[in-house]
Amino acid sequence: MERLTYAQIDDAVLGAMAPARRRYVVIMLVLGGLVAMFFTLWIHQARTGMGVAGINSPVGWGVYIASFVFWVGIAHSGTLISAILHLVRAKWRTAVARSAEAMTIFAVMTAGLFPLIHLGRVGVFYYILPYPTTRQIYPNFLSPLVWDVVAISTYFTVSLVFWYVGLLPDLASARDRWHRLVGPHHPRTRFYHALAMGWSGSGNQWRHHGRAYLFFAALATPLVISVHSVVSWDFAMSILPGWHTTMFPPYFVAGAIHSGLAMVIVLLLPMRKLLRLESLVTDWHFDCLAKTLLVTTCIMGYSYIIEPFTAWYSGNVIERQFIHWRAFGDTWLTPGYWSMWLLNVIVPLAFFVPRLRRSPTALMLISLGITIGMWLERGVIVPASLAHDFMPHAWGQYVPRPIEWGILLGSFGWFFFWFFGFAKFLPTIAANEVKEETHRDGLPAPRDAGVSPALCAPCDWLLENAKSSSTSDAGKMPARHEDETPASRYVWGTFDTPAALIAAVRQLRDDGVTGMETYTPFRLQEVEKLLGRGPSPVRLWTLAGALAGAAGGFALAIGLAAINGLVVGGRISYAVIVPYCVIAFEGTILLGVLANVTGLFFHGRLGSARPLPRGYVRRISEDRFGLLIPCDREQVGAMRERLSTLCAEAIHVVE
Amino acid sequence: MSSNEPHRAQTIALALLATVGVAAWVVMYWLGDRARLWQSLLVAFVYFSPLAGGLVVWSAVVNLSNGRWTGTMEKAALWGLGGWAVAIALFVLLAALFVPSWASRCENPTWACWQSDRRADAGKDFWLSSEFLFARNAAALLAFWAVAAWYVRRRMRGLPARGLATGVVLLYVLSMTLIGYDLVMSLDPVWFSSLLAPYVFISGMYTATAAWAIVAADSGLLEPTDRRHDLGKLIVTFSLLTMYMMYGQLLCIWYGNLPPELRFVVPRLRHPPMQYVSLLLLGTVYLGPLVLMLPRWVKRRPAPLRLMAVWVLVFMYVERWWLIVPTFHQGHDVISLPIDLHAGDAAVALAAVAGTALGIRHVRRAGPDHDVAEKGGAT
Repeated sequence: MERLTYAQIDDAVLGAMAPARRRYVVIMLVLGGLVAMFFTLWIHQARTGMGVAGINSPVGWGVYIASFVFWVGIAHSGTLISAILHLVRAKWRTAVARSAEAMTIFAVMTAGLFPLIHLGRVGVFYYILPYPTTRQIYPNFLSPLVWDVVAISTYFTVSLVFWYVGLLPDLASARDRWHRLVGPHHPRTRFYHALAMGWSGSGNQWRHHGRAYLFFAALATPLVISVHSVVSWDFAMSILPGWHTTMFPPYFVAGAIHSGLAMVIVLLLPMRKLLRLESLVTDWHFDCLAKTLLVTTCIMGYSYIIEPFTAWYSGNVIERQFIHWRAFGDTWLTPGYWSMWLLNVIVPLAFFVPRLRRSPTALMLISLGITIGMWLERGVIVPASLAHDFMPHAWGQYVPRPIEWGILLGSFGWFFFWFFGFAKFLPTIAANEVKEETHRDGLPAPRDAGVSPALCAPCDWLLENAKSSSTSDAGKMPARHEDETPASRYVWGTFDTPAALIAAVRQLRDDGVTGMETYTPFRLQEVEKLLGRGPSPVRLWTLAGALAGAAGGFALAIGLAAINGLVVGGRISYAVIVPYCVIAFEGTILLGVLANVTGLFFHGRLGSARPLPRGYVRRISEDRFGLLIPCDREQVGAMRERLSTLCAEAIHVVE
Repeated sequence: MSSNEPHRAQTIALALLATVGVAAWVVMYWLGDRARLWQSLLVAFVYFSPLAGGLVVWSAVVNLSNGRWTGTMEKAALWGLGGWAVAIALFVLLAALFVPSWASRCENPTWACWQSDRRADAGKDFWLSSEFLFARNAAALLAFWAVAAWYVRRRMRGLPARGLATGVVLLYVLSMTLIGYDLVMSLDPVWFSSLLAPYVFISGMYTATAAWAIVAADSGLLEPTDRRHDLGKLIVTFSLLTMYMMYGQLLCIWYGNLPPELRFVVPRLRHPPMQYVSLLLLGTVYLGPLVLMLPRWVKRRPAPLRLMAVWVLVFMYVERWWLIVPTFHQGHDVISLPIDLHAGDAAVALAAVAGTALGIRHVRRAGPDHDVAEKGGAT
């Protein structure tokens, strides 16, 4: 990657949020048209009735449910890239994770519409929620459809929180940038000010943020796997041939990641071009994405072989005839079945050729092919089993009607509309992570012109000796203890490089100065170590939330089963532990994440009404490194002098 | 005392243990229930083959993903090649002793002759003929170990081996899938689950991860602390993944409630005494590592990490026994399965553990002392 300074990284990321050009406006108008078509068709269907769609008896699930599964699948890659790659510390994650996370949110928003569309009577969707009702019928947590509602809503909530927490530092950058460019009262400045929740980049905030983000990733990773497993159980829990197979959970998860990765490429290629992000999203990132696609391609190929092989191996005549019909029958599903082999497995193997992994044309064509192929896979799985079950007299056919295709097309418009809107209003790349990566790679940001040579002269010596602890008494500050009366003054020192800040903190710590706080545009773990801060208590919040969620999940499922048993009668399944584990697991993740974010906001002192520290320098969120030192009135002069010898670029005092 | 003497003493001790294990098994086989002792071989093979192969696969995965977190520890994974001899020896014994072992129980000792209920054999007699079954598994195993040996040889010389690493991973998946279908699932030809074969290789990787921790610890490669922490997290991850693969199929079978599928699950999970073994496994290999390794210090300190690795390896052996041996007592009218333990299981385990350790030491000594991760990692 081209070596960029911290300010250039901000320029590239935040510059993409500049007022829209004509090409962008045209794209948004086209997408807006598709969205209008989507809702018009949906309203038409709701008014006319489900008869306008092609679903029938016995094929009651068609394009809508297939599209639901497809969009949930698309949603998965965002969390995969962001959470799993964060856990395994993959460097290529930083440039693509934010867009992928956004893709997750918008894909879940799209997916969530399809069960409502399929429902016909949209107004009764709330029947599935567990609330006290005069109907006296509560959701049955033995049903995979109820698991689905719980899993998808958990996934949406967790993805949204994960995305937002990751965005916080970059929203602060946007707030400060617009504050400098258009003033504090401009609507855009106010918008980012509200969203940034008072993020100042203090060492304390970064410490809790780093811990919270890690736990988000650790909780989101099993969630990704669970959610698409739950979606697969909508089918696998039935006993229909083609649906009832134990391998569906990992098969669906792999398929979801496969389609999601392809969609990331489909989105990133034009976004990089439109927003001029070539310096941050490079060919190397696409190479890594394509290699990951190769892994999922192999898993898909494996699953495609295992499924028919097990059907044959089972010796079950129904399973065997179904697989044969799907592959060689007289239905439109047959070409769909072979197309999914071609588009999802055979063509993507081309990525074994290194040149194709870096060719935008090849990347786009193969990824579009996978996107189509993965929709076809869902399109084959969902209606096929219903159309061809055990009894020949019950066999049927399903041909989607134009309204179903129209709504499917409109859903793409809805999804892209949100995504391109996001690209213009929010940072599409995690600038703070790119800066941290730059810092870790040892690429110092060049000093800006205008720094006083007199100030820099002693600093060169200081930076060279940054790792050694000074024991010299010269310039030592009188120690200030925590139990003394509150400081009456705060001295701000601003530094132009992280190394200078680290060196200053080391020196002042050795001088016995206490109560220092740093303010940085990205997480500086060296400073946390120097200041001897322990692990963030956010982990305890997370653990408590997770345990409460597990207990709450079991309590909800068992409690409602008991009430249903009492009200409806019949056999009461108080403690059917096996399926209730699903609800308990989702509860664990949901409350764990909510407790995590609460802990972050509480300990990180975040909140929209909270003001920034007095004297806060707006460039800190971009490329400057602040040090705030509390001291008494009579120490201010000495402290200023000391900071000037420690290479501070600017020094000011606030009360 | 020269520096080689402790090493030589350990080698002699391991060789003695292996000899004792082999001798005990041979005596029991000569005098006792041959069919049951053949089952001991099967349990050991299904345990040690994915374990040893999985070690080499870890190296391949690290190499393919440009993983840097392992550092010099990757060497310990390469030494897993030393397990090939035990894996192949167990397989050869399984094939060679199949007919003599089952001759006393079956009139015609063919595959799955121990099952009275063979309704589902229709159309797959050829697939389940013992000759073809052993032949295809032998081919897959030989292919895997040959490519693994080639890969390890190149890696130890610091030569590029990414293509071979891909081959190692793919052949491991293929061979372990075959083992899952042929040597575990088809023990009861009526029962089937499409997730069992993936379960076998994922759980094999789980045991390989635990073994990796032990081999690395013995060689002083588990430093610094962060490396231990990462390996600890990997063990927890694979315990969760293994649990997911098991839960995924159990839930589906539980919900479907279909007799051909339930015959595996119900006797193991619903009825004592096998139910107690299942609960033991839930607490030890599935949920155990998640709970016990939750504190950071367990993952970051050498002794607790090593203890957890041994814990996983021991109870995964029980899991393999749970997967295989009760099937020989299974039938459409059997509800409660006995806990059929045999001294032969311990004898084979002893011999195989000592043999694998000897093999790993041999590869370690034969290999160069340089850091393979540094020399070949960037290729």
